[in-house]
Amino acid sequence: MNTTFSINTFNQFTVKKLIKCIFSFITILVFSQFNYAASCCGGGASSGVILPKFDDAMWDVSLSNETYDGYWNQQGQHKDDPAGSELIQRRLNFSYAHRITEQWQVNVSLPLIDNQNQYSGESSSVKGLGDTQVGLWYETFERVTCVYKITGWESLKPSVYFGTTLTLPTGISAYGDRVENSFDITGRGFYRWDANIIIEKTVYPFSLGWQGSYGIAMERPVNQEYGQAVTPYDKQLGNQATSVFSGAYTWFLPNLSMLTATLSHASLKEDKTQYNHEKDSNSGFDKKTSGLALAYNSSLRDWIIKLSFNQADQGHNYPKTQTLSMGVSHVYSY
Amino acid sequence: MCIRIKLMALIFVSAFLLAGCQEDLLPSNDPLNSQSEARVGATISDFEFSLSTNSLDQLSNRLQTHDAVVLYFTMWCPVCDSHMSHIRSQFKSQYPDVDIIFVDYVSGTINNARGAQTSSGYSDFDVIADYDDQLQSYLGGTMASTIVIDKNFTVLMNEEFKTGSQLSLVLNDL
Repeated sequence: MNTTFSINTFNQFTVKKLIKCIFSFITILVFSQFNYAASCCGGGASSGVILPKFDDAMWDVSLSNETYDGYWNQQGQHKDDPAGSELIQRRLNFSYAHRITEQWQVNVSLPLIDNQNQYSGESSSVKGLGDTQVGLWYETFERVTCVYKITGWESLKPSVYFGTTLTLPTGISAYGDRVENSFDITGRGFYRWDANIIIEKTVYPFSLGWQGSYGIAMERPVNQEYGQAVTPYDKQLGNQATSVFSGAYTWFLPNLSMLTATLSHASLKEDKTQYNHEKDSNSGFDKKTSGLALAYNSSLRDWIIKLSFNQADQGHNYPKTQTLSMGVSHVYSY
Repeated sequence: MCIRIKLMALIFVSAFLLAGCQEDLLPSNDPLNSQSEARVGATISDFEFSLSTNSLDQLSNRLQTHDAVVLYFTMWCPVCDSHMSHIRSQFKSQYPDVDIIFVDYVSGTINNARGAQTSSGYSDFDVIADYDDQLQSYLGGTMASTIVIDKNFTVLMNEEFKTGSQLSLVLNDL
């Protein structure tokens, strides 16, 4: 990448057009970290999308393939899956974001889950809707904060987003009528409300970002487990905290399109589950994940093609997985 | 442009309506009647099983020397490992007259069940290799199912392990 070239090239665009794609890259790639899978642990959830500052609508379709490679137990020791097993979860995620005012936007994400579980003595293939997410976001800034050169304190101001996400239990959980065993699960079965924040700063061609979220699952009654009636009880999943740090570099290509590479490090922690307000010492988990993502943005800045790879590096009470994702987004400006 | 946006919105609304048919959106605590042969309170038939040590055994045989048999269904996953570790530390020594057996319902051969047991670190327990899914079908077992059967072949508990409190209650009442 030649920086001089990129600055010259920039002059052929409006500031608005260029800046919005940087936002697209960072927000879309960072959000792709938030996939919770594992049929044994409660299915999959969708990932969200956020509109670039000056755009009005966006749809996004992505396909993820998550493979399992053993798990970490409660002490953090890695253990292998049984011999002859191959566990895969595929997710086809449809997302749509819509701007409702200059600084407010909403989005919705629907995942289709495909669990492929193969053990030496058991195999299953289950497809179904996962847990749906609906989000509302507020941009604290009225003007873009991306700069080419740091000229003072004002130029250091980051972009800050505040958001809230509601997860709806639309997937097949362990507690519904449509499940016979643990392989059938495509969702966790709980409403969850998350408060989110994104802080992002771009000094071309570099970007740094952090996203944090804290989620509270609603308590729910349970009267059956895997299709078997049980004495009714109340269950509440533990609160969930996530944190993602990311750094990105953008190349401006000769045809005026852009390519961005993002490195990220994510951590996820869920507190212990409660049954009838009694904490379950066997539950709760955490994991740390590293990721690399590439995104190509068309010269008209309306199409984004993305490819990412994430690998869980360490954890407790959670499967070790690798996730390969690819997707495409289309942005509209009225 | 507007038509495309409306089409996308229509797709999402339709999907929500379809999703609305699912019971998890409005969960209930109404008691349900179990149809399982191995429901709590039912008397089950004696059955034979293969152990990972490549030997055959029978429920009646185990109950001759124990007050009850506890069967825990494992697929050697993180949740199962936490439960089995809990069973080892909290139940095995506290209830010496209770026979605790893990049921591997995912391995297709006795050798594979033995391998999973050893690599997971549970060689100190008996493990049933349910390679033909007979117990899984008969007892309705799946991940973390915990089934307690007393000397009269009566099912005292058949549910997910959870905190272990229910298992303690049942075993204390023996």
